[in-house]
Amino acid sequence: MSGLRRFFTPAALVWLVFAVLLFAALSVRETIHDPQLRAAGVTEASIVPDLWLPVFRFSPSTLLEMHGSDDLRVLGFGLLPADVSDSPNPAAGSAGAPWRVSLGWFALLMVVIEGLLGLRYAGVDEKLVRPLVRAAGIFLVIWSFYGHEPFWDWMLHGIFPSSPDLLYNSNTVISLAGQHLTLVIISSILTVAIGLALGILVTRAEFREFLPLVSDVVNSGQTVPTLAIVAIMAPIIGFGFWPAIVALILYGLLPVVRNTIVGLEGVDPAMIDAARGMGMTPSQILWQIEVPNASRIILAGVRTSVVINVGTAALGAYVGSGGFGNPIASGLNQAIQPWVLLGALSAALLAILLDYILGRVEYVMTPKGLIIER
Amino acid sequence: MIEFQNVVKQFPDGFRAVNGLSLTVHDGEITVFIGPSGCGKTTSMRMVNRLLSITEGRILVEGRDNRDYPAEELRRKIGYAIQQIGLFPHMTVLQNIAVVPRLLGWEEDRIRKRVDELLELVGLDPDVNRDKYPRQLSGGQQQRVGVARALGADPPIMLMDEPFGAIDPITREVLQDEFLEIQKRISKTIIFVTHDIDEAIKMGDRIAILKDGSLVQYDTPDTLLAKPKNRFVRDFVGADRQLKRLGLLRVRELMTRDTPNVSLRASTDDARRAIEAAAVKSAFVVDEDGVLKGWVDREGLRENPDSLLDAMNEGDFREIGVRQSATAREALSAMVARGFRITPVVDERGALVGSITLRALQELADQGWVEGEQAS
Amino acid sequence: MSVIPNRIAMLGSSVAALGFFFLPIVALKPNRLAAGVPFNLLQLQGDYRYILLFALALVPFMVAFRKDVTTRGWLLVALGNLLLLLTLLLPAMAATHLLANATQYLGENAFVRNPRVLPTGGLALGLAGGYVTLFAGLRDLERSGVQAWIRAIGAWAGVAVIAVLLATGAFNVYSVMVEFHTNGAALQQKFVEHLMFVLVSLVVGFIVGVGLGLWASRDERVSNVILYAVGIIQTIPSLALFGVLLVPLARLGDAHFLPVALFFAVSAVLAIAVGLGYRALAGRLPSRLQTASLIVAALVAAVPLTLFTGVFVSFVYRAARIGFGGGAMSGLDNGILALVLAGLGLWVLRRWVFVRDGVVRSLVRWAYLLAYAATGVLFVVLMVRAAATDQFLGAVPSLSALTVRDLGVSGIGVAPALVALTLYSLLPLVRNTYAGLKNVDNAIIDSGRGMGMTPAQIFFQIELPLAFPVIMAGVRNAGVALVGIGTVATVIGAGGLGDFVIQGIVNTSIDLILLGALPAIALAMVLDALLRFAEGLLTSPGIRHAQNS
Ligand SMILES: Nc1ncnc2c1ncn2[C@@H]1O[C@H](COP(=O)(O)OP(=O)(O)OP(=O)(O)O)[C@@H](O)[C@H]1O
Ligand SMILES: [Mg+2]
Repeated sequence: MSGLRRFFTPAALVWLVFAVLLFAALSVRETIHDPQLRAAGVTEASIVPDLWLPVFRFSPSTLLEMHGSDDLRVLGFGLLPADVSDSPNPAAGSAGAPWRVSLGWFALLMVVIEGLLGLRYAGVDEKLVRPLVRAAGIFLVIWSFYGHEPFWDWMLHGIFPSSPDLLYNSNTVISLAGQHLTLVIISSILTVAIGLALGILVTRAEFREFLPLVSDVVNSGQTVPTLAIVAIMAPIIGFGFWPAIVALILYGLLPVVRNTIVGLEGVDPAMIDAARGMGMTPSQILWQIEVPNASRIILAGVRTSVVINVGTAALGAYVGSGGFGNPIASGLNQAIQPWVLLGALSAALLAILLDYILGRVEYVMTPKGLIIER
Repeated sequence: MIEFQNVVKQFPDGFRAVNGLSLTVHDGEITVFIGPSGCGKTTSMRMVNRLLSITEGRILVEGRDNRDYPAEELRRKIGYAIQQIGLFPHMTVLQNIAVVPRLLGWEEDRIRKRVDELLELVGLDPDVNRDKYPRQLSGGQQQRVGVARALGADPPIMLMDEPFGAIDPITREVLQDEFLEIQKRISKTIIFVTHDIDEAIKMGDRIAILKDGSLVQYDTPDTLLAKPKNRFVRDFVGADRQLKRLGLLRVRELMTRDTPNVSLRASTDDARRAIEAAAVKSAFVVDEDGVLKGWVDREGLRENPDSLLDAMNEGDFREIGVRQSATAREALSAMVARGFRITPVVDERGALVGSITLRALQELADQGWVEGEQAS
Repeated sequence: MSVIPNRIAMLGSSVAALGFFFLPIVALKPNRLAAGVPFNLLQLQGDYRYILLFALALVPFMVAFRKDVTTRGWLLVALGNLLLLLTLLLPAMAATHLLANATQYLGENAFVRNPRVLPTGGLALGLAGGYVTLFAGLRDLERSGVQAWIRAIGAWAGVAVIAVLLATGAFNVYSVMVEFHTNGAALQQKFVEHLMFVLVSLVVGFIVGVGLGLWASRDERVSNVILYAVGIIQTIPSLALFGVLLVPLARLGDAHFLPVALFFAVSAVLAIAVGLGYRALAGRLPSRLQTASLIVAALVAAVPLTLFTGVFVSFVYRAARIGFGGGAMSGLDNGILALVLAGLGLWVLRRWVFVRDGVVRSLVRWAYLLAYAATGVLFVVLMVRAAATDQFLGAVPSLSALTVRDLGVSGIGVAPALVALTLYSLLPLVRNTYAGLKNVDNAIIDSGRGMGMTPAQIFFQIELPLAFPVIMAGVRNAGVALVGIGTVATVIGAGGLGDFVIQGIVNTSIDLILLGALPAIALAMVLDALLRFAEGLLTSPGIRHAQNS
C-alpha cells in the first residue's frame, strides 16, 4: 500500500490525469476548417498529437534542417506570394513517418517513469535525474503539440469561428518552432561561450583594468532597444538568418557578461586565498573554486539571456530570420488575427518552456552546498 | 625548519610592511608571531609559502630557499589555515579536506582513510560529518575542519593565521587545548599568528613579538614574561605578566614533596610531633589510602587535645587540594580564595603527593621581576 | 611606486586606428535607397587636416606609456574628447566637398535626390576608440584622486561641444541628419508619443507593482504566487505579448461600456469575497489547499485586473496626451512648471541655507509641502479638464451606446502597447519592492516597535525610507526596459520611435533606423539619469553613505 502511495507521486498523478485526458480526447474527431489543411486532404482529425521526437524524424520541419525564411510579407511588400510547395504537407508528414504513437502512451510512459523514480528516491531530495526527466517530458509534449496542426486548427477555430484563415499559410508550426529554436540555441551557445570567456578574462588579474570598461559598456548596452539592434544588422549584414544571430548574440551577451562578472567578483577572497595557500594553480582555482561558487549567478544570467533571445528571435522575423515572429508579423500586417495568436501563443509557450527547463538545469548544476540556507 | 634571513617586504604602493626580519622557526615547535594590528604578522607568514613575494632577503624552508621550489609544490607541502577558514561551500567536508591530497594525486582509498583519521583527530565523528557541507556546520566545527584540511596531506610545516580568531572564548579554549594535544602527537613545525597574548603564551613554544615590521623580541614564553626586553614588550605582555608566567608553570614542578602529614588513625600527639618536627603551623590528614581528608593546626590540637578527629578541619580533596597538572596560577588562586599560605597537591585519586607554598610562588616572581628590571 | 602603462588607452587607440586605416569612413549616397560609394580616410582629398585623424588615433598609444598618472590622465581625456569630436567633424567637412562634387563621384546616371553621406565602420570605430580613450583617461584621473565633479567636466566636455555643433548644423551632411531634417516634425511627435506611453505605463506599473510588492512582502504564501506570475510575464517575448493581448482587448473594445463596468464591479466583489473567505479560512485550511485556493483567487482577480488596467491605463494615456499636448503651453502648464521649480528651489534652500534655523526651516517645509500639494491638484484638474473635452470621447450620443473603444481600448494601437508595457514594468517593481522591504533588518523594526511606534509609523518612517533606494532601482530598470520595448509597439500600430526603425528596415536604410534608435537610447539614458538624480535627492543621506562605503 505504502509502495503504491510512493509510486503515485504528485508528478506521476499529474501525468496520469493528462494521459486520461488525452485518451478521452483521442476518440473525438474534429472537423478541420483551415483551407490549406483541407486542400491537403485532411478534413477530419483527432486533436491529440502523436509523439513527435525531433531527433528521430528527419522531416523538413525538424530542428536538423533550417528553413531560411523568405517570407518578406512581414514587411508589408506583399511581393512574394506564399510558397506553397515549400510548406511541408502536414498530413503527408505524419503518414510518411516510420512509426506513430499517440501522445497518450507517452504520458503513460511518463507515469511509469515518474512512479519508478518516486519509488527509487522516496523521501530523498534527488536533484539530478528527476528534474531533468520532468523537463524532457514537458518539452516533448509541447513539441508534439507544435507538430500537430489539427490541434491548432481546432483551437483557433474555437476562438475565431468566422475567420476564413486559421493556420499560417507559409510554414508549419513545428518548422517555425524549429527555426525559432535553432536561432535561440545557436546564438545562446555562442553567447555563453563568448560571455563567459569575456567575464572570466576581465576578472583575471592580468586584465582586471578592463573590468570597469566592460561593466560600463555592458550596463549602457541595456539602453539600446532590441528592435534597433536587430534592425541595424539587416542593412549591414543583409537579410536572413545571420543578422538575427548577430543581434541575438550582442544583446544576449549583456546578462551573461554582467552576471559572470558579478558572480566571480562575489566569491569570498578568503576562499581564494585558502585555495592558493593550499597550492592550487590559477586554473584549478578558477575551475574548481571560483566558477562553481559563482555558478548560481552565472546560470541565472544564462537563463535571462536565453529568455531574452527567444524574444529577440521573434523580432528577427522583421529581418527575415524566420521563427514565430513570422506569423505574428504577417498576421498584424494583413489583419489576420488567428496568425497573430498562433505565433504569439507558440512563442510565449516556447519562452516559458525554455525558462522552465533552464530553471531545472540551473537547479541541477548549482552545487548543493551553495543552496543550503544558513 | 624555517629560517627568515633579513626578510623585507615592500608593497607596490611603497609601504614597507616587513623590515629586515631574521629568525629561525625550529622543527616540531609552535612559533607564535604576535604584535599590534598591522605590524606585519600576516605579511611575514604569507611570504613563507610565497603567497606574497619577498622583496629582499630570503626564507629557507628545510634548508632551501623557498624560491627554489615551484610555488604550487611548496604550498602543497605547507599546511595553511586562516581566520576566515575559507572552507569551500560547494564541497563536502570530505572534499574540502581531500583537496591537497587530490592535488598530490593520492589514491581515493588512501584519501578516504586519511580524511576519517583527520576528522577523528580534530574531534568530529567521520560518519556523521564526512558528507556534510560547510554551511551545515557550526563555526567551531568549521574551524576544526579548517585545521583538518590544513593537515590534509600531512605537511611537515603549518601556517596558521589567527585560526581561532573568530570563535567565542569558550570554544576557543577548547580548540586550543585540543590542538595542543594534537600537536603533541604530530609535532609539526608551525607558525601561528595571533594578536591575543594569552593565546600566544598558551600555544607558543617560542614567541616572536613584532612591531612595525621588525622583530622586537624572540624568546620562549617564560623568558618573554620574565625578561621583557623593553618597555614595548612589557606593555604588550601586560602588567599582570607575573601572573601570566605563573600560568606557564605547573604545580608539579614547584611543589615540595615532603609535606607534614598524619594518618586519620594517628593520635593528637603524633600530629603535634609531626608539626613541630617540620616547624610549620599545620599538617594534612590522610586516610589509610593516602587520600587527603583535611588538616590540623596547632590551635586545633590545643583546643581538642584528645581526639584527632575532633581537632581536624575536614575538607574534600577536590575542594582544598590542587592537582599536579594545575598551573601555579591556579594554585595561587586557590590560596588567595581560602586565605591559606600553603595548599596541598593531590593526584587523580586524591592522594596527597606534596604541597606548594605562597612563599615559593612569591620567590619565583621576585626573581623574574628583578631580572626583568635589570635587563631593561 | 611603479606605474604600468595604461592598456585601456592602448585598446582605444588601436580601435580607432583600425577604423581609420582599414575601414571606409563614410559612404556617399545619391538618395535614401541606393547603395553608397565608400571612402577611406585617405581618399578624402582636398584638405590636409583629415590626416590629423591618423595621428590622433595613434597618439593615445604613446601617451599610455607615460609614467605620470595625473598628466597622462588629462592628456588621455583631452585626446579622447578630441577623437570623439574630430571623428565626427572632419569627415563632415570632407563630406561637404564630396556632396558638392556628387555627380563626379557617383557617375552621370545616378538618381541624385537628397544626396547624403552615410557614416560607416571607420567612423563608428573612431567614436568607439574615442570613448575608450576617454574612459582610460578618466580612470587615471580617478586613480590620482582628482575630484569627481572635475572628472565629470572632463567626461562631458566633448559631448557638450558636439551637441553645440549639432545645433549649429555642422553635421547636417550626415544622412541621419538629412533624415532628421526631412522627418523633424514627425520625429518630435513620435518622440512625445514614445515618452508618453513609457511614462504612463511606468506610473500605472508603479502603482500596481509597488502595491503587489507590498502585499507579497506582508504575506509569504502570496509572495510565491505573485513573484512567480510577474516572472512568467517577463519571459513572454514582447512581440508575443502584444499578439496575445490583441484578441481580448479587441473584444473588450467592441463591448458596450455598461456591461463591462458591471462585469468589473461583479468581479471586484467576487475577488473581495474570495479574499475575505480566504482570510476567514486561512487558519483552518491545510497549507496545500491554501496555496491552491490562493492561485484560484489570483486567477479570479487577475483577468479583470488586467482588463481593468487596460482600460485605466488607456484612459490615463488619453487624458495625459490631450491635457499636455493641447497646443502651446497654457497657463495651467506654466503654473505646474513654476510650482515644480519652486518646489525644487525650496528643497535646495532647505538643504543648504536654512539648515540650522528652526523657524525658517519649518516655514520652508510648509511651503514646499504646499507647493507639491498644489502641483498635485493642478495635475488632477488638468486630467479632468482633458477628460471632459469632447476631444476625449468624440461625439458619443448616450451612455448606453458607449463602447469601451470610446475610452481608448482596442486590439490594435496604443491600448495593447500600454497594457503590455505596464505588465513588463511589474517584475522589476514587484521584485525590488519585495526585496527592499524584506531586507529591512528585523532588529530595526523591532526597536521601532519597542519604542512604541504604530505599524503605520514603522512603515512610513522606517521600512519605506530604508527600502526606498531598492525600489527606485526597480523603477529605473523598468523605465529603461520600457523605452526599449516601447519601440516594438510600432508593430501593433501604437506609434512611437519604433515607427522609424521599422520604416528603416523596409527601406534598408540605416539612417531611418538610427533616427528611431538614437532618440530612444538618449531617452533611456536621460530617464535613467533623472531617476538616479531623484533617487539621490530623496534617499536619506545616512543610507546613501552606508551604500557607498
Ligand atoms: N597589499 C598591500 N598593499 C599595501 N599595504 C599592505 C598590503 N597588505 C598589507 N599592507 C600593510 O602592511 C601592514 C602589515 O599588514 P599585515 O596584514 O601583515 O598585518 P597584521 O600584522 O597581520 O595585522 P592584523 O593583526 O590586523 O591582521 C599593514 O599596515 C597593512 O596596511
Ligand atoms: Mg593579519
